[in-house]
Amino acid sequence: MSRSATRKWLLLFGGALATLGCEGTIGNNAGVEPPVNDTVVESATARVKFKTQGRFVRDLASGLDLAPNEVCNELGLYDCYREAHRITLGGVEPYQRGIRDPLPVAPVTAPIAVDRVALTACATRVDRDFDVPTDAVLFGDLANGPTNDAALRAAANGLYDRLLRRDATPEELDELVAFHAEAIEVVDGPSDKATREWAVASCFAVATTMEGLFY
Amino acid sequence: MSKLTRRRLVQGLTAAGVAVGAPLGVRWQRTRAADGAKDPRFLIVLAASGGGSIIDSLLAIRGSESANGDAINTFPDEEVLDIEGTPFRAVDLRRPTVGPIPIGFRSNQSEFVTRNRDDLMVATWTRTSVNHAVGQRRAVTGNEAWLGRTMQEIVANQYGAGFPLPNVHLATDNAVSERGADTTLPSFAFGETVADPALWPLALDGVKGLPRPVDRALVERARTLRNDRLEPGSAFNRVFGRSARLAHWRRMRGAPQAAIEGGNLIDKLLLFPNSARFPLAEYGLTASEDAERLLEVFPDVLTDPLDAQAALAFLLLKNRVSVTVTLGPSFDVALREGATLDLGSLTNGGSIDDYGDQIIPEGSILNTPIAFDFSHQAHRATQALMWDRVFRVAGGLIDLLKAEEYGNGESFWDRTMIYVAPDFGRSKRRPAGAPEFGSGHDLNNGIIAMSPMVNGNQVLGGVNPDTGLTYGFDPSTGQPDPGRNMDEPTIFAGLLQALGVDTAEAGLADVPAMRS
Repeated sequence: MSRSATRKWLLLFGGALATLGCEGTIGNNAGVEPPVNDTVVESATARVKFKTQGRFVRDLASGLDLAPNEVCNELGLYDCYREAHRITLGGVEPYQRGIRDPLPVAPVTAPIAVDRVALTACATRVDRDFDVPTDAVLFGDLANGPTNDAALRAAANGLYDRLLRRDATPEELDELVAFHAEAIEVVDGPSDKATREWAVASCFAVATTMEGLFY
Repeated sequence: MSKLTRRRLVQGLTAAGVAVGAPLGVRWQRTRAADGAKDPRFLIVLAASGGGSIIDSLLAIRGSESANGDAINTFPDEEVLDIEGTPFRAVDLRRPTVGPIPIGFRSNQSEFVTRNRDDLMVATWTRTSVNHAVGQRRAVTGNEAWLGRTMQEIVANQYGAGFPLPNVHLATDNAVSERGADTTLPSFAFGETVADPALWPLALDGVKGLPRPVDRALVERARTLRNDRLEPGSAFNRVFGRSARLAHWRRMRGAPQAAIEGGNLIDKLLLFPNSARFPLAEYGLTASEDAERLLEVFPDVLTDPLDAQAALAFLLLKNRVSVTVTLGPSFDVALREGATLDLGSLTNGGSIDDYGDQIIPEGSILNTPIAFDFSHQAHRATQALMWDRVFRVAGGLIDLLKAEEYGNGESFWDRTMIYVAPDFGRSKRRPAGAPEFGSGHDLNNGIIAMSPMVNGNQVLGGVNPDTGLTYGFDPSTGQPDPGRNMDEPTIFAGLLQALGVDTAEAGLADVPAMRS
């Protein structure tokens, strides 16, 4: 490599480091509204991968502060990933099923299985937070205090922080706060139940975005 | 938030259809294929995993018929039964062991052949590979005869457009379930893998049967929020939105998911009645209305993976979920409930032999460790046990489908074919006069097709009793032709044509001898 080429490379690398450091600073400043970045560059290859081999379930467990075996059990007996939906969710089972590689293409039932797992995990987290607010992970303020715009907005941002590891954009917060009205409509009026169900459905919606499923 | 520009719209559409490249196919071609879905035929591929040998079942040879009876795979005369009114033979055996496995068994082929003779057809062929995976794949692609499409994909493409899951693969460790090579087929034609027939139906509804109920209407609204408002504007979507995998995921969330959940398939396909092992009622679920009947037909459904596959296969066809299902014995040992190969822990009906060892009860073994391929260790016993297994499952499916009306006085069986697809044949020689022996892989063999749509009660081709090798037939007349071997594309074409598939596009031979 020539000296000029080395200099260019160092400049580029330094610039990249500076950029990363800058983003890290934003991510660590909870409550500071991130700058809207409209200069996102579309990927030329758009190469993403589903969170196979249980990554999706592990990420979900981590985000909701659940033990892996608390995420979801079908019929109360069968671990959703290890026993019930392992192959559908991109796992392998070479010993009894002879499946040594994840399925090359996600099966039609995969999005349904994902919804099922996420709904169960979200409902568990929400019920625990609302039942024992002192130990709450995500929804303590909502469980303890009034359901107002600020509380909903804080809970919604918490979902993005914990499930997608980033702050929500203002538009995303607006959508989730507005969604509370839909929960009230479905549950037949404003109530603690409506807020609780809003929390479950919002958690589900964020957890099952493709951003939460692919990397 | 990004706006939907014309450029972005074009990019999105391109991504959804073309970039997916191919591995994901193009689902919206469903409408084009829908014309063929009006008069469906059904295909069951039943793999004879490991190498089911035709001269150990319907074309068995008596020792006295052969000039080399001691040297090739022939049976004592009395063990080969003629089935009256048919060209078929059957071998009913009883053995104290399966080679080194100390479990006795009885096998019965004659009962199945007698009951179903009018719908049975044997067609001989000579294969192109004795590699298991290659042989399995070529058994369903005719050695890539039609752009590498599998028979299941061809049938699903022709008849499956209106079905929620047209092509379901229950045999997970067999290359008959591999995806074909033609990526231009609509994606609904490709197989849906079902690893566990008992629990898989729970993945047919995102809401029903959850431990903590959530209002379906609210979930639907949350899905709309996610799909239409949260995702489109996210930075992730703006960067990776053109991804083929994301396009595929978006498509699956649409019409296919609506068809599956809207059809309440979860309650139609749950195999097992409510029990402590499957506490369905506690979770607001109900088993299939056929669950009890299936337990009668496939009594080992709880312990035998093949029985469970067959039970779900029936439900998939009967409920018009699928037009083709693929099943087969696994390469793993299966024992009847209560039996174990750990002799010390046997408690269920075992007896003591002359040496004081405990004997596992006869009939406790359901599947050999490597299916038909256990013939390497014990050819005669393995072939007998495994053919009995294949015929028992096929017979159960035939009985169930005959009892199920399709419409206009027709039964489902009138429109169904079971294709018994072997990996390849087995070697024909044995040590002089050996009653038990090990066999290798051989290209020469035959297939069995079961259906009212095939040329029933016929053996197309024949077998040379002096060599154990099968020979071919005239594809037009079906006349035996000792100087001919049938190749894979010809048999592949004949089976598809019997299912009403026009194979002219692929330039395959016309084989009227194989259809009724």
